[in-house]
Amino acid sequence: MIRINLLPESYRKSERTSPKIFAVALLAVICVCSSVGWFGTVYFGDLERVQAKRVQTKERLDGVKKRELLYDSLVQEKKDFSRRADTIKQIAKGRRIWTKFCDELIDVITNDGEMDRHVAWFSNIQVRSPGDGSKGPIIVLPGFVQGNDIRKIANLHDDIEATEFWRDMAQYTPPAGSKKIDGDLYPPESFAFSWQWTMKGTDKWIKNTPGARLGKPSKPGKPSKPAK
Amino acid sequence: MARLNEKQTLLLIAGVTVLLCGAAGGGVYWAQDLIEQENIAVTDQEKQIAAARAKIAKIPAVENEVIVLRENVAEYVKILPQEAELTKFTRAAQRFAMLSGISFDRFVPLRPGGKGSFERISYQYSFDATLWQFLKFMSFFETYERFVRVRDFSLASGATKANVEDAVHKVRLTVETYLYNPKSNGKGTMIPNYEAKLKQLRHEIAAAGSLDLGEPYEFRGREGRRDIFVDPRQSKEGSKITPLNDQRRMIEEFSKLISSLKEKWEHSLSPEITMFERIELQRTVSNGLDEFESKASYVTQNKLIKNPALNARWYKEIQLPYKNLVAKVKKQEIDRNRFLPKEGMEALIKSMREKLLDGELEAAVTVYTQTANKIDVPKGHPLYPLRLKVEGLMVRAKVALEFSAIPLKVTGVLVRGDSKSGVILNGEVYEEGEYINETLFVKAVREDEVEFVYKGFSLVKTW
Repeated sequence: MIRINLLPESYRKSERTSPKIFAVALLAVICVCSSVGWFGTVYFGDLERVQAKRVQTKERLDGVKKRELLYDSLVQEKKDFSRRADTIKQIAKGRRIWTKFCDELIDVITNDGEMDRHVAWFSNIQVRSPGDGSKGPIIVLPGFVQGNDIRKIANLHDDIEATEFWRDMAQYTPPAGSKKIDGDLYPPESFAFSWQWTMKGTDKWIKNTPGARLGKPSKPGKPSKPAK
Repeated sequence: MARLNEKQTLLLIAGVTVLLCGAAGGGVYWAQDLIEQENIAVTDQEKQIAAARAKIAKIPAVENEVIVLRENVAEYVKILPQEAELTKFTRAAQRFAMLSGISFDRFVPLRPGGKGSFERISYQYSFDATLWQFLKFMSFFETYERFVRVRDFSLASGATKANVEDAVHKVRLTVETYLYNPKSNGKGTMIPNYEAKLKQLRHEIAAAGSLDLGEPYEFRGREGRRDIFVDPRQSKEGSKITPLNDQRRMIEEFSKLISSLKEKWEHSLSPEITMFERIELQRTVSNGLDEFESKASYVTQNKLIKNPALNARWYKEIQLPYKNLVAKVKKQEIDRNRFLPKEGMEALIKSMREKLLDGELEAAVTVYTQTANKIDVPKGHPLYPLRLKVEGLMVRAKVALEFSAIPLKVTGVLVRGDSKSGVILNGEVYEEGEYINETLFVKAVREDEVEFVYKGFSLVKTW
């Protein structure tokens, strides 16, 4: 059945929203408003507060960063100057007074004119210092001991080993010699030898080890293979 | 458009509501995530701030360390040459060569090395020299005011035959030094109130000390030692050589002689002997030394001690003790002749006193002037008290001379027993105790004299 309302528009009873729809719509509005409100509270309240806090913290951080950079720069400079100080100390440590070494060597060889223990001389001397201080200088000393008695070579070694510079020696050539005869000279016999000494690294020199300076005995060097 | 029925409307409302609520929920979830990230960022920044503050708290200590290090390095590098000094260094090397009596065959710079702030500069010198010249030259470098290290050296014996004197050897010497570049790592950090902090840290800076270059060492010279790069054996051909035993015996005889002279000299200084014994002993020593010198010169000039090893003994046992004894004897003679003896000093004092009492002021000054260079005995010398007496008299004489030059015309005196007496001096009246000028004062007025005080000395004018 079709119901037709024939009354003119103005006389008709107005249409009303169904209460069910109204209730649902109201509930929906409340839900949507609550949701949007919640979002608004979180987005515009909590988030902005945290963002403002971050900005504030950033400003504080920027403030301390300048001083922190000063600290970093000072630490870097400290490292740099420490390195410079160490370098120059290392350079100074590596200096050996070779005049003193030669004076001592001449004293031992000359032996105050005493001829009974030994009379020795050298044909040359070479001293080479390696680049870094880890290895000590190398000294090459080919020479001769007058006479026919190899005990004099031993005496010479004993006297050399009593010198101050010997305490810095790491390796040395053990006593050795080959006989030479020169009929034009007196005495004609002599024993030729070739010494090669290697000193300890600069850090182990007596002058660079305060304990040893006070008189503690240092470890003696080791004899190396005889020179060919 | 067709109208929605109730069911459709309800469904539409529910759908839209769910959609909108879902969108809002998603937005909340997204915003919470943002908040979480912001919180993480804030926490991270807080940590950074805390770390930065911890560093900032250390700044004063690090600043102090940097100041101490800067100053120490500045002190250490003072021993290194500046760049502009390399030419000075070259001139110094030439001076060392001249003083050692050598001339260079070659001197070349080697490849620079080193790293960072220190650049290594090396020079290699090649030259001919005796052993003693070479060692002297090397010693100059090792005692140079700037840091120089002898790195390598070699010496090849130049002795063409055995037992030659002053053989010339081939020498090659490499020395190195370092240049300091303070700006190699940029400009230093600005430290506020640097000078004030520097003052506060002066003890810490001083405690670091200077660079330890070891004990300074001066080359001892030849000292009678032989050249160890010369074969000391004697040649059989040609020269007439004193046998070794005779050379030894000669040294022993000379040694006994010089020991005997030394003993006599020491005995002559003993306080237990009389002055006459002392004079006699010292005369014996002096004559003995003359005789010794002529004998020793004969040995030296004729090279009777030929063996180089025995030459060292000759130097040590004979020449050195002889030189020492001669030096002692000469010093004693110089001292004896330098000052007036006690008797002379006493006679001088007596003479000056007499002249002062007689008013011969200029004569007293003349006597002093003639002997002034013989009375300046040092403090602690037994004659020092007498020197003070002589000088005291000299001061008096000079003051008296100055006083006598002051125009003081006395035209009358008024001597009163009950009150202060007066004097008419240069037309003006002065009472006792009155100053004439800043240095002259009327001390007492008597009938026939007036006593003045001038520059602390009492002087009397009579008429």
